[in-house]
Amino acid sequence: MFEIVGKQLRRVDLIELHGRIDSNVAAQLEESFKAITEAGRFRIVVDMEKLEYVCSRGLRALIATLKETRRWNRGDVRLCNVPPRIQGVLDLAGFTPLFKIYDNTVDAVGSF
Amino acid sequence: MLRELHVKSKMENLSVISEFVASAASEFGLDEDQTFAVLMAVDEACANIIEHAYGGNSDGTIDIRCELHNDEVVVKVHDHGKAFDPQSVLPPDLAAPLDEQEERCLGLYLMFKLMDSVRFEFDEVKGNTLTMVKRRHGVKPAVCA
Repeated sequence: MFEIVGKQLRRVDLIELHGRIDSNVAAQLEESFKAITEAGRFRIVVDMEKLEYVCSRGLRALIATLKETRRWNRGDVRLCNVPPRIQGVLDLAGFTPLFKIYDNTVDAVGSF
Repeated sequence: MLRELHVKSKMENLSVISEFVASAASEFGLDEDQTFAVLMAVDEACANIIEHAYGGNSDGTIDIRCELHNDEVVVKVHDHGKAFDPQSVLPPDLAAPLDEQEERCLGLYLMFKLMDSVRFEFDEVKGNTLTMVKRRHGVKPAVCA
């Protein structure tokens, strides 16, 4: 099972990831991020509370979007509610230092 | 103990593979963290086989065999797709700047980090066999591509 729930808040796009992101569905994640940045919105919070698994292609989608949003200092991708196992994958991939990571959604959204 | 799964090389089958591996790993006594590691390594391996070895052709076959030998869970993934040289795949540079991060060969790197050993064998007639081992107990040695 995999689901992306997107909410456009006043200053931020909140993306909730549910379930399992493998290579079969990672393209949907890429498209969701692309839809936001192509609409000219570059402040994104990714809520990972319900995320059970993310493959390397899903991780690459996160990094690609991070690069896109930070260009010309116009925004950022910030993570919150990262489960320990997903945090472990971010650590292994060397991505933890690249992202600002928050304990909860309120802090992540409020950080912008 | 032995468990086997035979599937076609379709991305849709990654979830089937994942369920199979999780079930076998649990049956073989791996804890949840170890099961997650095996599940991710096999998922990355099979995604690579589908995308690169078979070039997206969904008629290929992937055979997965999980065995328990003493305290080692051995996962063998067999395919008849295109061979590759693992040595030609550069490990990612974890200190690379953000601009270069996207191009990293993460999947293979993660497989080596998650498992206790990873071995590729390529045979034009018999096909390709990836053998990965996860120990049920003990400390993981530092193994990298």
